[in-house]
Amino acid sequence: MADASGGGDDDLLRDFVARRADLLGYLRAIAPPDLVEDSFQEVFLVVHRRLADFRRDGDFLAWVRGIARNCVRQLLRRAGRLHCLPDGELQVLIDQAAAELEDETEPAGVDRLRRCLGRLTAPHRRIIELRYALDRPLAAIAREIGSTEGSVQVTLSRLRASLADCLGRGRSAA
Amino acid sequence: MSDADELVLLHGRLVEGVLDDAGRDRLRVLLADAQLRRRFAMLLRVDGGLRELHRMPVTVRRTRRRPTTRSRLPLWQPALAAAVLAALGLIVWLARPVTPASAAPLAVWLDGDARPSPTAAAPQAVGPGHLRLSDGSRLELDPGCTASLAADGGVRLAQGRLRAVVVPQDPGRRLVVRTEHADVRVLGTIFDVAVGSAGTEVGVERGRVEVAPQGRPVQQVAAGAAVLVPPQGAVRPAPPPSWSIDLADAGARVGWVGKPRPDGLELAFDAEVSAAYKVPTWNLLAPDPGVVGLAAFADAGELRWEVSVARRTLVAINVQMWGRDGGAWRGTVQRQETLEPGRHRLVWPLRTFQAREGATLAAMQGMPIRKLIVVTWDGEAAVTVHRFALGRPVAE
Repeated sequence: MADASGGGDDDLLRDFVARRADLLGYLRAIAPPDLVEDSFQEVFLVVHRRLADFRRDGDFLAWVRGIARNCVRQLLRRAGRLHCLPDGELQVLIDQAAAELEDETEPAGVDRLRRCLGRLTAPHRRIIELRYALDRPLAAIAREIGSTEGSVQVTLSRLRASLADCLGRGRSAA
Repeated sequence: MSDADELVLLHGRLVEGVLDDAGRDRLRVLLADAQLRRRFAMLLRVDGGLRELHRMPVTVRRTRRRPTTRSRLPLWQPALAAAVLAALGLIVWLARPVTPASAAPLAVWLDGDARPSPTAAAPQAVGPGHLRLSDGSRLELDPGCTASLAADGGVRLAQGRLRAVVVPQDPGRRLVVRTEHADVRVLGTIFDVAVGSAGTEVGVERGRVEVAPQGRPVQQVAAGAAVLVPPQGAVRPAPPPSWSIDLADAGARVGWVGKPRPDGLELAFDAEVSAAYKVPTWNLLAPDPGVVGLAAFADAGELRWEVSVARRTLVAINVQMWGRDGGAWRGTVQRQETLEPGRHRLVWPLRTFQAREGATLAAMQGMPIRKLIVVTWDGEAAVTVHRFALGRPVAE
């Protein structure tokens, strides 16, 4: 597939790969958790397969998001779970948020996020690791750290917010 | 609580898949504000970034250790042993070549596995287990699978079967799985590679891979197809990886009507049984003489399957043996398990199934497998079966 692509396609693919984290974040907002990995794989395959169809004067990342939405819809339809899709208005707002961030900023490097993580306390880093590295359900994390599921969810939300602040500070300092 | 704080919590519920209708309504209102929308976008970025970052080896810490028998020894023995080991370690360390990169992990074990990560100095990985490569790709090693990882991202498969779930690759870079018979090159896809005495078998679930047999022409293998690269002679088509049925791809859940597939397998919602027992039940019917890849029940066989459950639920698999003429039911074995929420990849050896209705496992030996039945007690929406694999362990 890549062999059929020219140098311009390589640039697009590089941009796509560099923004992998943003795509994952977007998919996690529009797809049920158990379908995110599958959706991610599908998006990659479709983008490669249809790269030649992309109009060069178009918005590449918007095109990728469109593919992502279709992949999620397709997987949900196959699973008989179309009701899990965000409604139209919410979907538009999520898209708008993602597009505005892309316009304003370069893709977030994992190094910067890693530095921000390093500023968290060890117990907080542990919660992040349990959820993101080991895919532990919230209930299992709660059992492990002696807390409740709701409390773990709130803690994770606040940790993400704190990391977002840290990333924001890094950008304004740079 | 400020709107910004509320937004953070709503985003958390959204990505955990537990945001209710009222939450969605509120999120819609908040996202109409440009400042909050920007905040939300940063949360998306952090969330995706954490997913991405934790695919990298350096962030995973090992917390569980294997139990040791040290406490059973007299007190002076561990002290002496520690001193000797420390001295030996110091000598080895002083004499070591300076190759810091050799200690860097090439991949990490997932599932909370406490095994040391493969490194350039010790690149071997032995299944069962799931490995996350530094680019985020995942290798699922079956029991007995032995593979070595290389610093360039390549994988050498010495024996057994692995399943590769490959993430987008940088342009110009391809993940290569090498066996003694062939190189399997991939851009981004899902496929199985198995090495046995008959050669190397490559089956592609999604995407397309390129198989480069030693000294023979390169060929591409498309999704749903498989080839066998024998030690010598021409590459030939192999039974498709249809013992591995991806239910999402099969479109089988749409309506749950029996749907013929090119490989002859058929999946059907069993309305009669579902109604009679008040539990959703699906049947996977195989053409005689049995499910491709395992024609007959054997102790050594195993069922591998991948399933997601939305909440804690009990699921069961029934394996039915029918006569060779396809006409008469001969016996059923069953295994059931309560699964926690999340996605599970399960390997259930057939010897761990219970024979039903007075039958015995011994009596099932050699009987043609005709039907797999998935039974759940928690409704269709709660359970999604992604994939079945029924076969003999490759190392055999």
